[in-house]
Amino acid sequence: MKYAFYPGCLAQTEQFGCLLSAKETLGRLGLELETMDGSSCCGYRSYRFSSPITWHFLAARNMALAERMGLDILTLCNECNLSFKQVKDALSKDPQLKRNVDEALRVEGLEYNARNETYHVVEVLHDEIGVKRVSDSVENPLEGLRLATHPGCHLFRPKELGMPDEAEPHKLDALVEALGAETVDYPGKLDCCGSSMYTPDEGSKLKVARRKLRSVRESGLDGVVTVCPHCFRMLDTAQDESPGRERLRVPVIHYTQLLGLAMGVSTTRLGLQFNVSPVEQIYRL
Amino acid sequence: MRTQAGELVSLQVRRKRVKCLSPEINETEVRFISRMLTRLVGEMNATVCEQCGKCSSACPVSKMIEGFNPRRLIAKVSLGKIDELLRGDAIWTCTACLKCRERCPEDVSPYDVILILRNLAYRAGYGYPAGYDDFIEGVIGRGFISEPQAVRTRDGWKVSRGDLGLPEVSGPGDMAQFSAVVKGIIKAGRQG
Repeated sequence: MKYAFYPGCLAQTEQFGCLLSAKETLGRLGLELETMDGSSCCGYRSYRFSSPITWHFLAARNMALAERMGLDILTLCNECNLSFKQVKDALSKDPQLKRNVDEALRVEGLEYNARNETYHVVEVLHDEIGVKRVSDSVENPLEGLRLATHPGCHLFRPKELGMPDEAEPHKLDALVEALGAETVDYPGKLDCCGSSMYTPDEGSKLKVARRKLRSVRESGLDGVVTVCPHCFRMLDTAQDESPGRERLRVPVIHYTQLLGLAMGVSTTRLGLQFNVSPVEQIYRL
Repeated sequence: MRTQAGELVSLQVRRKRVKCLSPEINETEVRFISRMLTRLVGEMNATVCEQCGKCSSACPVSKMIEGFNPRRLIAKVSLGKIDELLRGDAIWTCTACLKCRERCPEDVSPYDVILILRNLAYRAGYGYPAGYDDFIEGVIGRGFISEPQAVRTRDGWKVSRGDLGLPEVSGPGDMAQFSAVVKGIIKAGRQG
């Protein structure tokens, strides 16, 4: 099983725990991840509001690169996944937009024919590898852990685009339970982490995230599991940023890090040293 | 309205007045687009949106941030208060989680309306949050919204991609060509 590997901006430039743990664990499950030479930002955060056509071009350009490799895309990022799906859909419905994008692609000798698909790592693990094989890869079952999952909005919204999970998302929970841990519902589970406020709203960007983290803590759970680098950054890295507030100290772990722990991979190889939240509470239990 | 934690905060968007030497659309066009939007949403409101508030009660942002309320935002559009919305901070506070669109019993989507308003605000030179420039310029300059950084571990040690045995980020290849194409399509989008 070979994919064009598209980690997304954050995993490549700063959220190394997401990248390291994905490479480490997906390889062990037999996935071949081919580097996409020539790839760039998918355009979602950078141009969606300022220049929609540039967003469409950038997403199409990345899909075209994968198409030239003859491969489907595997992305680690909920937002990139949504971006590629929305653009594929828009180009299929708007011939004029498609012509404009094609013209720009030709400058670099590329063409996009919508022959490939984009998959999020959660759907590859759940639908293709399968929960059983994930479970079979476990060396150290994570028994006794009670975890919250945070699927992230764009793993399941909008439903009309054929998202990785269903309207009542369950795949991440199944994948966590495959490792021997228990998943527990909590208020606000399907609410946004607030990551899109990270850039525009310095002052109150943490309010939405903290509401979520407080809910996890008040539910008495051991931590929260993420699957998108943006959600991870918002919940983990940013949780103690606002000065003068009570420190929430909620362990946040990325799913592939949790998977790696269960497989018996060393914490360093999973980038767990970069989690800012007290994640050692999870693996020292 | 207070949250259970009693800490509803006000919007604090750091706005940047874009030094738009020549705004992409002029005031007459903004007025025209505003009227169109108002008529469209107004009609939608009269026949469709009952201001039931499911969008606002679902919205994770309006629970925490005073001044952001998707139901009221739709009402403002239908009352023609577009200029107020374009000048204000609310349209930049939506996290695009799509919950409002999912919950709306009548298929009105505050999320889509907000995206249109953001684009209009940007193109008409109303200004946008400062942080986005890093993304816009970052992609032209290096292909990604941010540069590969050395990050610190929980214990405070600084580590780069190289220290972790990761190869350099494989960027867009011929950077000069890539930048030229991106700049070209941004320009084409303005004229289009």
